[in-house]
Amino acid sequence: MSQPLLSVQNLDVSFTFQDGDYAALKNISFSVYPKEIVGIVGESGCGKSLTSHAILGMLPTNAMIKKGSIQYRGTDLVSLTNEEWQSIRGSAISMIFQEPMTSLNPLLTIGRQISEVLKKHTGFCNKEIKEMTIALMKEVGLPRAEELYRAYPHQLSGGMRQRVVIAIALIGEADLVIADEPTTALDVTIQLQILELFRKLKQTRNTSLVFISHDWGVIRKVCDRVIVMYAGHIVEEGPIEEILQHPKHPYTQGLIQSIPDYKKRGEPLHTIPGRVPALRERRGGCPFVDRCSLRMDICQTTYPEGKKHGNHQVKCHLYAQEAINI
Amino acid sequence: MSTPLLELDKVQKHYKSNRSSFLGKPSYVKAVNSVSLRLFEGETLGLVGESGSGKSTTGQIIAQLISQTSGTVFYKGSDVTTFTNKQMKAWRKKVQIVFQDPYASLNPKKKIEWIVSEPLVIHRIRTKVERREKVVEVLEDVGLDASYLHRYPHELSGGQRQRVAIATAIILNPEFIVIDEGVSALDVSVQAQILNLLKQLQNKYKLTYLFISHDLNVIQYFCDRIAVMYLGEIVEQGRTDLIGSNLKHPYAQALFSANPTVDENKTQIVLGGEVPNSGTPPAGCPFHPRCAKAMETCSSFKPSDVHLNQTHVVRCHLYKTIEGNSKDTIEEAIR
Repeated sequence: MSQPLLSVQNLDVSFTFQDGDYAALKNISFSVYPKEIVGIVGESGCGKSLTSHAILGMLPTNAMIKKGSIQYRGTDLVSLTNEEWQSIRGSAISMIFQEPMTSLNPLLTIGRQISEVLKKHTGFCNKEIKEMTIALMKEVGLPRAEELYRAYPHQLSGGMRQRVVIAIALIGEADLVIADEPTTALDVTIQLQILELFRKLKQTRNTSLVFISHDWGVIRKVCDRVIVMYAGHIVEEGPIEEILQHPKHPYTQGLIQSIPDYKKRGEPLHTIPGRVPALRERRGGCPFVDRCSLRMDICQTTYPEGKKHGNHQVKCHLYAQEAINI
Repeated sequence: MSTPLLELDKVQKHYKSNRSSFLGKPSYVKAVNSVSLRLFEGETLGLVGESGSGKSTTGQIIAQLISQTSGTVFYKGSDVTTFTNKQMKAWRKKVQIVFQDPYASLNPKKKIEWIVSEPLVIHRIRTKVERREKVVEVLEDVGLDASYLHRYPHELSGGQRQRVAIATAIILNPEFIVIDEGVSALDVSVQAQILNLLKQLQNKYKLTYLFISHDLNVIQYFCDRIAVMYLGEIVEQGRTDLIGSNLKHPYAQALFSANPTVDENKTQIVLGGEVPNSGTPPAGCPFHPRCAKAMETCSSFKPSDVHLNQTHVVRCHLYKTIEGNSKDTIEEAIR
């Protein structure tokens, strides 16, 4: 396989509070290859968004990277200064946020917001910038691009705003785009349009995508590979169909079984008791132990090592005897 | 068939828009347009549709939190608008509503005991001591216990708050609950807990639900019948098992095909364009600008309801020829 575009190794991120430091991400390792769409799933509070913010150097002020590295095309991003980060953001790695209304500036025209990256990072003249912006607006499916160039966000519908946000993420020719719940705020027919657009962009622009979602159906629609996060840990990783058909980690199994579905009518849904532990409640051992129906003594004390089954990896003591260590 | 518990007959809700037209005539946003629905005792009717389609407005009209512009709401055959104040207050005990966001729907300054017992206080039911007993009883019904009485909403998780909201809804022993996106803000594992709870309560207290959601997986799992809304109109209604291959309206077909699922590969219909503004709906059928099967008549005439069988109603010109025919031809046409 080719060199990964992005490689995160043993990343730990902690929050500092008055009463001490609390680890929010532990030992996060994964790679994203060129032209690949990688999904990250998990419940709220599992560290999905924090991971993406760490990759973009946008951690909250009370959070810091304790150890580990984030390599983008061989450069370690962790040690970058603020100025160096700015040259990466937008032009090499860019981000799409969940809520298109709050991520656009209501006082600036659509055209100005999309072209800002070009003005900042390139030396094109204004006329060229406008032409490139309008061409991209057409590519992401915005109708009447010339007219919308001068429009303001409030004049657009939710789906069109999300297309604008996607255009902003793409205009700098970033080869890695991180999309944090990009379709959660959209209606299902509009969501399908946007998901089709992501798949098309992967083909035409060779863009790699990290796609964060809590919706397995959406992840299955766009992703090649999926990473399952729980309480700041990656618990399972593998090709999407493989994970959906044969989930190994009890958390992944529970999540997939609790998806409501026509075929489960009349019978109670599977549930995972309890909830994701808050930052201060996390301790040693497996993070899922309190909610797991298959827990053993060892789970209370020892954090499970990663086990590899082909390209399917799982961190659970149930599989301790099998397969190869990572 | 028995008398429906609740029935909406050609209900409309129009809001006056701030923007008036050129000649100063006021314009109206038609949030709900000629909606007819029946709810039978003990069943769950799912109301689906995209944002702005009028789902929540319909739910609020059924609970009479807002009044309709025209049309009638019947409760067991009697028109609720003719109720006296006293009758209305008695009726309100039977109809409750659970909202989407348990963070916004619970008063942050009050303890759980106060929140859950408020309906009893309003209706002056029981003494203080008895009220506490009743509160503990319903908290246990929803999977909480007496230890929650003195907590504040901010101490609870999203799922626990939604349980409190449900406890508040069932404390007056209602017959009917409108659940307006009641599980949409929750993670899937918690959502499953709440759906199971709602089913248990329905069996225990013989509740009737109007379940409003944009989540098609939840609707398919949870509801006995569905009604699909588009721009203030119900374009199709019928039993949940229509979903799959028996939906008739082109919008309903596209909507359910667009829902990404985890276990099937189906052909997805990608709709062009977006839902038009309900202030300026298209003439004729509201869906015709996005409809792949649109005909000439669709842009000028509003389709009327076509009853394909006792439970299956579709509002589309494609099936117009079927109406009025004998039952055999209808069944043939459905096939």
